[in-house]
Amino acid sequence: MGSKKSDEELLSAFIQGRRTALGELAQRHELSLLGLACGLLGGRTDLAGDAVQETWVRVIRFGDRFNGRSSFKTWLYRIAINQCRNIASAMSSDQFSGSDLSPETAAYGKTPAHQTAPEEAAQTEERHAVLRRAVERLGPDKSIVLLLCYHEGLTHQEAAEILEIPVGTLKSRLNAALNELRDRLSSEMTT
Amino acid sequence: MTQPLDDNLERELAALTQWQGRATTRWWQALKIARPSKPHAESLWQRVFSQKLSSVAMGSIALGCIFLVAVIMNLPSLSSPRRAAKLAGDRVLVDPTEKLDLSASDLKIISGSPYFDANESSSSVDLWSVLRTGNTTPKQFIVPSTTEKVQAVRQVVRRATIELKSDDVRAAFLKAQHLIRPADSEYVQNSALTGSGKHEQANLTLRVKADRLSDVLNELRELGEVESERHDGQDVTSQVVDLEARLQNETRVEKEILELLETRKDAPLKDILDMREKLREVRNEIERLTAHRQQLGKLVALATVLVIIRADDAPEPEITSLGNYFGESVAEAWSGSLLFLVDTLATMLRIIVGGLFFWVILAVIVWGVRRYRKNAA
Repeated sequence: MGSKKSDEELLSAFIQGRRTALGELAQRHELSLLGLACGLLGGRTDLAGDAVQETWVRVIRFGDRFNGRSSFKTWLYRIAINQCRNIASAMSSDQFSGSDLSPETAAYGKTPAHQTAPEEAAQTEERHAVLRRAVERLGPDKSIVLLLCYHEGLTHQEAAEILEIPVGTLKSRLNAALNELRDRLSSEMTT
Repeated sequence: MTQPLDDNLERELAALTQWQGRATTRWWQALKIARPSKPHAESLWQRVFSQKLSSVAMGSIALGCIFLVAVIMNLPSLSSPRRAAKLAGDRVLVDPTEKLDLSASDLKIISGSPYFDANESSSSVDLWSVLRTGNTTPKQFIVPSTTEKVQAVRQVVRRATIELKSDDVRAAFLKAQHLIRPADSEYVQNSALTGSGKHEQANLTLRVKADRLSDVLNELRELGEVESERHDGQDVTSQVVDLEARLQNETRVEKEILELLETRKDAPLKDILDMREKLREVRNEIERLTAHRQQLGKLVALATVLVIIRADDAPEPEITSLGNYFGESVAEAWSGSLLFLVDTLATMLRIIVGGLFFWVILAVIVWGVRRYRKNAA
């Protein structure tokens, strides 16, 4: 039984022409990327899909430029975040707010119906919407720190590498963002 | 909410970036649309084959263009009032000017027309006899009556072309696509991203609301360095007014025929059948005019923006004349034939040298066989 190949090895194999290597990379990272993109794009699953597709396009086209100074995962996430930023900047604020999601794009955050009662699902969705709005209001720098730090599968070290900031800076930003978020949420709840 | 958000804040934050939709294969779609920056080496045969294919494709496109031009030349033109007038025949009586509100005094300008008499009321003519004589366009139906004003505002079909240079063509292409507002019926008519590296180029045709054209252009200008920009507007007010007038006339004719059919039930059967035939023709005409008016309305309501985005250091597009094209084709054919010759020689060399071992074995076998036969003889 062969050992599991690293991301870098898979990328190298893909560059050498083994297309299935990209599939293996996608199997490891695509869902995670989709989740992050969804969070960064206000819960828009359609835009998240586009961003992730663009990310893979860039990996395919510029994979040979990967220099190995950072891990493949960090590089991949950096590309994905840039794509999300591109998309977000192209969207006007009224189109982009998570509050006016079309039904087909608002699938994010909905717990499967077979797991929860409709009432509970609605409450969860409402909580997510409130939280998403509050995170968006923190501004791009703080919100991205929050989302990356709480993104499943990313350590603080990796998040700091992705954002190209020291871990200490990341932690102080995270702390500030959390405090502000708590303030906002509590003030919103009291009103 | 049943519980305070703060209690589960960390869990909720983690849930914000959890994908809860279905598993996707975006990587596979990306693989289909993207090409690696280092293309795999391809043999000359493949190159020649692909060149042939592209020549066939180019030929087909050229033939398609010629066919399209021929079709357009034979279709009712939206751009030429003269052609529109010709196509509309004698029934085009109102030649609207830049006036936006055609009143009775305006219509008097065209009262010299053989089809128009502002003083003649429709009741003074025996419609029945007119229809029986086969004149389906009685003059009192051609233009709106003086009591009806043709209300119109200037109708302009707006088009804009903008050429941009961008460091990141793909990103600009993606952003440009997101400038439209689908909720306002805006859409991307077509889009294409071709080439790679310096030759990467994106072409988009956006249909945006006419009143948002300048906003969209402003946003497009921010996507890169503007190389050129062109605007043109085609005033179709005359066509719109003409269509409106004709539609009103046909509607009135339809109404009158229906009234006649209702009131003159004692008329001979042949006349009634004739009337019904006329009614069918009038209704067909109404449908045709309505469709035309809607089409024109769409053209006016949505401006067309052609966006061309090139890589920042892209080579300037060459303007190919027929002479240049001939020269290039001959040069290409010559270099292609030389390459073919070289490739053939290389293939032969490969066969001779690469198969040297087998040649030797073959030669030994032949020599052995011949020697055996000789000894046997």
